[in-house]
Amino acid sequence: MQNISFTLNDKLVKVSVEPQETLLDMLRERLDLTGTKKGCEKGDCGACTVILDGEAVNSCLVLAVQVDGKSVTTIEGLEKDGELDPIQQAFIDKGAVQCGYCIPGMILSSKALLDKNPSPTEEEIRTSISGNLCRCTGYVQIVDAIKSLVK
Amino acid sequence: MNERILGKEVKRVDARDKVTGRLKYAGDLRVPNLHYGKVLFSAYPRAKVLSIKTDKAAALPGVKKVITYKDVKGPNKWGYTNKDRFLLVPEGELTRYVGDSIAFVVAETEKVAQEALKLIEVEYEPLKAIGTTEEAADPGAPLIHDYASGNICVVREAVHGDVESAFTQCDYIVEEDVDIPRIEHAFIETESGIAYVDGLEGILHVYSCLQDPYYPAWDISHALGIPQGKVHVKATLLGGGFGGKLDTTIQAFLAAMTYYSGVPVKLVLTREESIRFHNKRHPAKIHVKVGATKDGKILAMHGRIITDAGPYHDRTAEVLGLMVHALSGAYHIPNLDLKGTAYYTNNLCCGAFRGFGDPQGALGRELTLNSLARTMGMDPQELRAKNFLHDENVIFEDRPVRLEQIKEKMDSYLGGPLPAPSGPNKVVGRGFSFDKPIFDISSTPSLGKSGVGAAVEMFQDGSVIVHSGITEMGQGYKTIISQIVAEELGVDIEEIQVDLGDNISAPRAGRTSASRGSFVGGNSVILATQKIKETLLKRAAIELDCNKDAVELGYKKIYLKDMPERSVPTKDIAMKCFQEGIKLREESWFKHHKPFVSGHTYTCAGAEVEVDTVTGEVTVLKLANIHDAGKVLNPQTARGQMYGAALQSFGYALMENIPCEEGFPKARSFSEYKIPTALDVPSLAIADFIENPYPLGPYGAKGMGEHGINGSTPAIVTAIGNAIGKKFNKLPVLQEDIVNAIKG
Ligand code: FES
Ligand code: FES
Repeated sequence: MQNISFTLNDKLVKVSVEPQETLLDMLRERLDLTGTKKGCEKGDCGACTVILDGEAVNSCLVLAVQVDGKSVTTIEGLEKDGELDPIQQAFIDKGAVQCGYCIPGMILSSKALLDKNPSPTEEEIRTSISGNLCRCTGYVQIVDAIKSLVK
Repeated sequence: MNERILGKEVKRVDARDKVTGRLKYAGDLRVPNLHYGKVLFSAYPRAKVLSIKTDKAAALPGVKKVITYKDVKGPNKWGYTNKDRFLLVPEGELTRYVGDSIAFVVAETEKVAQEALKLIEVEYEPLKAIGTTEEAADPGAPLIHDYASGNICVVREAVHGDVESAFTQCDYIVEEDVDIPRIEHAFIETESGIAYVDGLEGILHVYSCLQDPYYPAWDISHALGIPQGKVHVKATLLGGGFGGKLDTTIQAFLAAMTYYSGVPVKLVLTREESIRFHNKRHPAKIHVKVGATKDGKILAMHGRIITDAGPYHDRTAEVLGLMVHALSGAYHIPNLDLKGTAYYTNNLCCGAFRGFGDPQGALGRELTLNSLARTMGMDPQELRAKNFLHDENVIFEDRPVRLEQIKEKMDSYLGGPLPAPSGPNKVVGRGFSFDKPIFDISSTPSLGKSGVGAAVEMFQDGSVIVHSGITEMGQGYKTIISQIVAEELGVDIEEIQVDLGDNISAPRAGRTSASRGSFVGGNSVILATQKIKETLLKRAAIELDCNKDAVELGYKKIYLKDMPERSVPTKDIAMKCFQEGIKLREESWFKHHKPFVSGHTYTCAGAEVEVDTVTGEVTVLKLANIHDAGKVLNPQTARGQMYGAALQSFGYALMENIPCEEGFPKARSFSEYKIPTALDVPSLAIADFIENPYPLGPYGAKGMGEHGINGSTPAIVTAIGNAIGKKFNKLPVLQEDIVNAIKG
């Protein structure tokens, strides 16, 4: 076991992890943050997306030990004092959510984009979520939701 | 009726929990002392299991129990239609596909369970698998099931009139062969769940992502030999289903794991396991011959379908029945001779998948009609319009048929001249298709498919709970039911809880499939709320000192029709009922009065594509669906259903295929089985509706969940063909196929 400490949703946390444990498993199994989803464990689906030091990453491809000293945002970290992040609200308002399984990852990918680039083109929006598979929506209302926040 | 909430863009009631990650899906659940299960699937599609040795696996530290057929006390069989599938294949028996299960491991962690799997020693005698329908039909072929001679799973037919003599009156006859692949649901949430038993003699609980809690409860009780009353199956909100979670998936595995290990168990399939295990969309080889007079009147159709069911029956009879039915589609063809045959093979098992046979039938039909139009030199849309179904061709409840109106609306989106290609080596084209999708109206008296109940209760504070056995898989049922109850009982959506998919708390409702949820579930909920409303009105009339017929239920109050200012809050009446012992919990039962009838609706799909003639790359510029919804209960979720279904057709037309080679699937992951991403799909998707209230529907609504996929696939394939002046009869249409077609 190895001790790591990192910033998780704005709070400093210390965790003991196995050397081979993925960030995804640590979040889900040790920290009970099940909002980060598992869809393939191979980097193919994006359901496990979290924001690591400002970048959207597949947490199934990151080892827990690699986040030592870094900052991780999961879907649970977006709502502040009962106030949704604008991107979460936009997903609700535009009907972007169906089964919802891809949605945490989808929201974090688009948040990482909008944080860096508040005025993305449609192409940039689609590219930013192209690693997040959604089988329900055809991406139509998801792209609408992200577009509605473009400055 | 002027609705307050129905027909409005009410936000999904489950959206907040989904965007915050709060919602617990099946794989997120936990209970104390939770252990982890793993399944040892058969290493071969067809093999004799000679011996299974579990000692080493059982000795691994952390392993709680290794379970084989020897542990199963009951009949050890499950399955939809026929209970002929081993829960655990015994020594001496044959495996039938790579999704058959040989052993279960229950361990303290998933990792240990995985390790233990590798220590189970199974000796197989591999046998040659039946890998094609041709091999299955060979008179010398071994039988996959002793009772199915010729390996025939099922034959479905639809015959009407006299096809042979009708063909002699035709001026034009064409024939086409259409080849359609097996495809994968690719829901992002794999099969998952937890199970535990309340004490030794208690109830067995299974919480899992599923589309029908009732049938898995039967499968569990049958396989393990325990009374059905002891089996509690509860559907969690699904991370996608699309038919792939319709029949029992891992629920009987979970039940056996917890029952025979004595500890609570979680089981989550990996993507590879999910792909090999669950039912796929049936592949189909379709031959269609169609004939018309020179003025474009289609007189006859002869159609033959061959499909590969895989090793188990499951829904094949139903899917194939619809495939056959769909060959004539939205057109009036007076003479029909249609037949479909499904064979058992050792390939992946096939079953329900959004559209349920209709997408394959629609492809066979629409691609052949294109060919007929081409041969006749007639505009393909005009040919279709000349043969549209009209009121006199359909059963009373399906009327009015407004295909002309649908076509007109489609023309407003995808009419006029084609757009100019975006550059050199680019060509554009359009394709259209009309369809007559089916939806279930709770009429079929077999396999528990008719009769849908619901229970509704108003509490003394005026809040309401609904127990409905329909499941929420993303389609928005929970929201629609909240809207219906809010409308019927004059309460706010926030005051309503909708408890779903529970075989014990909810009266039997059957499956969530066949675009039936809002229709059958909605109707049953309305029946229950009406009884509650009656009780409230009666009690309120006493309070207001008048006759029951003089009062009306409005938003949060009951008032005198003639003097609306005289009213009493509904919740005060609910409190009186509570205190006085008046029942405010009602159950209902909705069942269509005629057996073996279905609802139908009418749709048009249109696609506009651009093809790069050098690379063969296809860009779908527009994909439109016009749908006769009966009544749109929530425009936002309705559009969501149409977009989602339509864009699944993009993958079906252009990307997806999961072939099997001698029973082994050729894809095991999303890198080998690609589904559309946000970059692939059209940036302009259109979904629009016409509303002809359906007399039996809740507020006039028809089913719609599946329907966008049926016509969209042939529309895209047709548009590509039109763009380059070629035809494509084989799916998926890959870039190299397009390049070859242009060259050739
Ligand atoms: S679970 Fe990480 S990409 Fe699929
Ligand atoms: S909403 Fe179901 S996978 Fe995206």
